[in-house]
Amino acid sequence: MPVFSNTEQFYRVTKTLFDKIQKENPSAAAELESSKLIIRFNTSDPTAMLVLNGRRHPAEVSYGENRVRPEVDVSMTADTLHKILLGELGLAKALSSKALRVRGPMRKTLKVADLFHQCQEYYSDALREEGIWTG
Amino acid sequence: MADKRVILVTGVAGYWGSRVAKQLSLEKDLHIVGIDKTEPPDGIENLDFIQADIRSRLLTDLLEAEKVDTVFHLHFLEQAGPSEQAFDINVMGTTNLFAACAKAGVSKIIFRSSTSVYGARPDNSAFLTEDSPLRGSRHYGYIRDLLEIEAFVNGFRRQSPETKVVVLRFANIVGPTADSPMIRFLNLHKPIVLLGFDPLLQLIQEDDVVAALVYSLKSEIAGIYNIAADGIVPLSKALRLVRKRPIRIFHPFAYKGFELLGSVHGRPLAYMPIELDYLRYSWIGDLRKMQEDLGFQPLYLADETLREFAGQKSSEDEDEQESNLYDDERLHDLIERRRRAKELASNGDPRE
Amino acid sequence: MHDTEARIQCVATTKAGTRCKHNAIPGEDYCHIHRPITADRTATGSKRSSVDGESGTKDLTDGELREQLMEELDSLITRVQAISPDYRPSAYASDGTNGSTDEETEGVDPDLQNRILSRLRGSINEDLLDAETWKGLWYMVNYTVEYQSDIFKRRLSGDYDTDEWGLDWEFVEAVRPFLDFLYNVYWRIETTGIEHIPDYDRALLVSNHSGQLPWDGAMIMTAILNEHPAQRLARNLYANWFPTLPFISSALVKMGQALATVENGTRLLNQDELVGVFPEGYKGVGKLYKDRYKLARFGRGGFVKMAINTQAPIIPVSVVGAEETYVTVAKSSILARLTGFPYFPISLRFPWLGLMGAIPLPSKWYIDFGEPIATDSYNSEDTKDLALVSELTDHIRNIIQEMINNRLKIRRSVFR
Repeated sequence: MPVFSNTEQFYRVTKTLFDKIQKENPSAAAELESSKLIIRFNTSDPTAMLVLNGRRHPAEVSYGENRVRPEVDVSMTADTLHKILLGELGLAKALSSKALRVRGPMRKTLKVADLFHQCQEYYSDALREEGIWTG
Repeated sequence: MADKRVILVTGVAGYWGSRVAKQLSLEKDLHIVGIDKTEPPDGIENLDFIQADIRSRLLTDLLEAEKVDTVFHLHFLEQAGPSEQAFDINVMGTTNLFAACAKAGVSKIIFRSSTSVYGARPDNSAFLTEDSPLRGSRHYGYIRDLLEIEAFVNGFRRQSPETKVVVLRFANIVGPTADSPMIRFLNLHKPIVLLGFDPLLQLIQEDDVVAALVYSLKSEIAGIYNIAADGIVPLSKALRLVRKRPIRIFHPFAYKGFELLGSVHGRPLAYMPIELDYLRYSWIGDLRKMQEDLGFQPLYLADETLREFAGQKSSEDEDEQESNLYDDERLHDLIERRRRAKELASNGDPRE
Repeated sequence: MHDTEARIQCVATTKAGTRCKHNAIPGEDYCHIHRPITADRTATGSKRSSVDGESGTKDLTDGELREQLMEELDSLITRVQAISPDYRPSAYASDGTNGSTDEETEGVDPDLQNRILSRLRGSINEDLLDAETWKGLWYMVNYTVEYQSDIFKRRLSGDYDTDEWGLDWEFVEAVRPFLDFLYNVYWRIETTGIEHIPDYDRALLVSNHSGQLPWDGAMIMTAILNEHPAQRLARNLYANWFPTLPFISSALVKMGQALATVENGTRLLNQDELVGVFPEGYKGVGKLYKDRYKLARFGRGGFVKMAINTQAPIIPVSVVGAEETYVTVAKSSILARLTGFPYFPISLRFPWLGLMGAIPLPSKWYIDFGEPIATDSYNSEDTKDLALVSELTDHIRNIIQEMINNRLKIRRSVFR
């Protein structure tokens, strides 16, 4: 059974997460901006699309269908993302097992490593706030 | 029989003539008269065959006697080298036929032309509309003849406005049974291409050619239309889809080489089904007029025509009985095509 | 003792696949042909740049630039190695011309890519930037797409898509590392005013033009791809003699560029594309060095009519730096007629230094996008008013000239 029951719930959690990071740690957003990266996350179960656009000022996160062409395109199931953000699944393992697929220049994503760690840090809080707590 | 619409098909012994006649013979309310110098192939039911030459002086009498309403002019020799005999049939035959039609009061003439009349030029716009200047190469017999005919038809349309003329300019015709310069090119063991050039091609499947010709009989519209399948294919991709590995030649050498060959054999570029310029620059017809005014939609997509062609060819190969090239893809294409055809039919397309 | 050392056979494998028959250089494992190229790279590099007749480039640390390019090539080689593990870079050999003929008839396979790359790498090292090298460079650009193992097979079987203009996104992505290198490293381009470009709507970019090859268009395209929030692809309209050039013509089409005709521009704008034009045309490309940054006449205002008819805003663009990439001191009409080029540049380096002169100089570039000029207050009837069209054309020309002048004032030197 998937962690997120529908797309709206997934967007609510991720929105809470990014708002939290923006409030608690603005430097992470600045990092995204200086990297000039456009990253798109495509998830399945539920189907959702997130675009982190570091070329806008301030950096922007959009939820749902978007016409912007991404530089890095990441596809996975929402459960995989959930596990990665909780730290239950390592990035390298996810990549090698093809649970996570990346199209585009991987090395550029290293520029936003800090943002990724921020996401991991605040993710469980975001889950709790939205009333989904898995332990 | 008396109230049936009479359709005359020229070149009925040839590939296009016989295919169109066969298609038309399925219609209950049409009477099909076919003319040619030789007997047509068997299997065309209800064909009223008359052995006649389109250059005959008695053509007017024939048209009047048979009360011909519409003429499909499909007698055309598609030869690479310029030949006097082909010119005589193609150009002189056409002028004779058109003049006879005007005199006999034929209401409509449908003629198959080619987008190659626009010419492959470096300064071609990406999409050539039907009123673009015709700057085709005059080195090749069939293109030269088409240019002559197009110029004549242009004058004819002004002089005889009561005879409607439909000219369909088809893109490169590809298909398993037809014969066209592009098919001959794709059938070469090692096609020659020009190093560093990758022109875009427009294609049309042979079945869609027949469909378009028959469609224009039912449509009330006259005029000139580019006809091609949706999608464009770079030459390199086309060759890959049909699994051919080309020989790439640096273009100055290629031009020089063919010039020399031409002077030796007297028939320029006899070895090349397509002239070098047509392998260097693109000539893409603008299809808006076909889609909007004529309302015709080819069923095959550009990629599909090539897969179908390559697949059919490989199934003829007896070595590979096990699995043929593109078996799955072609079935998938076919399912998609049938779905599209149903959609068109439900939107009131006169086909089916 | 000396004898025994000299008789050691070279350990390399030749291109024919047989063991190399030459004797190794005393003290090394390879003969002079197969000697690994890293050995005396820096030595040859510095020696060569000092004999390079060009003043001005020298102090720009040619060596460093070459190092950068080498690194790019090295990473490409690593990627190829991932696909064919038994690959090892071999040194440059002078019989490469024969090899390239084979390559042409054999089509593309990873091993061939290896050979091209290693040859390219070798020749850069030896600073032998001759015609072969540039051909090799184009191969690299052309086929980088096929290095990527997951799409390699698919492309070979023709399973890829292009739009109706021939744009092939996989090709664009494949050449982007090379364009990025030129953008970031070679010309160190600084871009301003990217926010003037709309996210999704149509717009017409109007720019000054220079250089024999369409590098300025390519860099405007790269600037927008790299900096714009929606990563738009600028569809530049190129001069009508590019289609006659091999490689360049097909690369331009695959990158979604189109020939400069009113129909093409109008159609693209009606498809809500971002269209770039260079109204100076070949008058701009063939400018002499002393005339640089003086805008040539802007044709008959075809682009203004195009913008008005499609109600697309005009965005003026100035490119500074590109006009110094080729220093044309005179034009030869006889050579132009022979080659079929609309003009034939006699530059400080070309044709005197052979094709080497065709390599653009690493000047520093600035690309500035200006405020959009709305055209929706006009209607298509106004395009018949020649006075109005020519007035608008001059207006835009003056804006661009002013933008160029402002940039030239701030700029410290050609190379900084």
